[in-house]
Amino acid sequence: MKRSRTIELVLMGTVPLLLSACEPPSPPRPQTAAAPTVAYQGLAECISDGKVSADICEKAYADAVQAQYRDGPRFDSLDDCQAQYGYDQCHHIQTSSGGWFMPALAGFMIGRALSNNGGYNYGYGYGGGFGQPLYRTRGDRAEWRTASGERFGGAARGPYSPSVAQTLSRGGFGMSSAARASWGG
Amino acid sequence: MAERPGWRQQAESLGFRFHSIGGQPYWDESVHYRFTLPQIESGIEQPTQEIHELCMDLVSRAVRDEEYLRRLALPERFWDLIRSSWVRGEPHLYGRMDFAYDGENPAKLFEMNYDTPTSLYEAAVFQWIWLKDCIEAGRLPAATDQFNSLQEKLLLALGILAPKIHARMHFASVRDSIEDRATVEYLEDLARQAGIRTSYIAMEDIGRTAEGRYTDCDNNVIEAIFKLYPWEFLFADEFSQYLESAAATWFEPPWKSILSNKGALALLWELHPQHPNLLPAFFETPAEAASALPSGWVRKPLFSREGANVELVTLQGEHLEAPGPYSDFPYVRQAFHALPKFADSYALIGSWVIGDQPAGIGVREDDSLITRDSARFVPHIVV
Repeated sequence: MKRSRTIELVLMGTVPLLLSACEPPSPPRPQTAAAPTVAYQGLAECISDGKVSADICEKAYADAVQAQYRDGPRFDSLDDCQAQYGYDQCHHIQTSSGGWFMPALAGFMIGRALSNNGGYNYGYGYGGGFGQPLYRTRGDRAEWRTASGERFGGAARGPYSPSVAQTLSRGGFGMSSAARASWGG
Repeated sequence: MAERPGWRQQAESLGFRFHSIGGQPYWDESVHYRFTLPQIESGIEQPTQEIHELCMDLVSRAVRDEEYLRRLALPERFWDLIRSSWVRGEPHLYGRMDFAYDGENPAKLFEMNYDTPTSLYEAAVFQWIWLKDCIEAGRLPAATDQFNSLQEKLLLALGILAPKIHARMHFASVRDSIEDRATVEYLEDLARQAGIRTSYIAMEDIGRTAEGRYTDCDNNVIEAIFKLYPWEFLFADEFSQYLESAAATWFEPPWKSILSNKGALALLWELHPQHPNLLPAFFETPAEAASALPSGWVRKPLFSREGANVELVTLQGEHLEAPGPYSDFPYVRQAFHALPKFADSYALIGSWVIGDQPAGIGVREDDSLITRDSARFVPHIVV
């Protein structure tokens, strides 16, 4: 047979295409009020809090559970995982493409924008679905961390991101293509 | 053959958002091309493998001989970057060769797209799904095949890469192109399936630090990055001054700038004259550049995409010219070779190389002898 045996996609078609992540697209989104991101330890807490509808809670929680397999921290050894997330906090995941250890979900957060009809914008937020997983590290049980190790709220960096540096400027790539309308191949 | 009902909705749901361009169909399944297995294996697959090896040989010569780099008009301040990326063995993912092939005579190489090839998703996924649907609906025999192991080979190549990516691999394209974004999204999808942590960034959003490293929107240092953005553009952009200090691993690697350059066609012919799958090609002299193009020749800028700025005069003296933004570079001249015509359309075969192996084809149809970005993508079968 000269063709692929199967075709599977995990990303395409599942989320709307997001444009630039660094700056708002210009012109800036009209009538989109920024809403504080909310976070809960579990589905029941989300529903009983009442800030967002039960429907949104359920969707966000399901997204977060899914996203931990895709975006969550991964470790080759149980010891490495426990060193960061604490004893008894890690479990093994086995898939057809390999296995790894990952920390337990400590909570989930719900995306950051309210659309003009008052609901939450699906797909807006941290680059995936609008519900994202949260973790607690061993050294800092008081605070949640996102999948990429940021402290929840985004101010500080956690231990996961290996190399973070201060950015002096952006926009130094892309001028050549702007000068030519079409160039794909 | 009739179109499948509902294919547009299917395309949308699978993230194929550019199936129509400006109201005109880009994906066109009202027709399809039929190849025999010998046509595929001897007519396309074997020449693809052979020319790919000639290309790798050309790169290994060019990194040892500055004269090649000079003739390709590659900027001298990046020669070290180009050379060291090859010497270090930086891997490449993919490339596409465009052939004229009538099913009988040797396929002729029109050009290589070895740096930023697009039309990957429609070749790898959507034409595969088309065939599966047609077989399941009983419209094509169950034994019908397709030369298309693109996804399988891409997953393999990314799987080999996965252990070498420590933090994550970034995927970048220019902000405003939905077509480019989809190609990048597809590769990002496959990288995730191969176990690589990924994020997308627009080329315009890439930052730089005081030490000259590149950063993403969250200030993570970029260690490995796939960019659907040509090397000649990167070289010309302001941030190119940090290419050395950034120490990022690029896909495609800098050495691909040698092969995405139309001058490579002239160098291939110089090294392998009379090769049955190559067309005579030469760098244009200043005198030639100042004079009219004679009959039977095609003129292409060294850096050009999707037929832009291509000028040709057929053997009968018919003159065709595609406008474009690339007129500020030297040109190569290539012997005119007519694309085969089926019904009212000219067909060009894009033959993919993944890693170092031929991996499948996509057929583009155009009403013109110059295949442009508006050319329709048409599925194929192997019987």
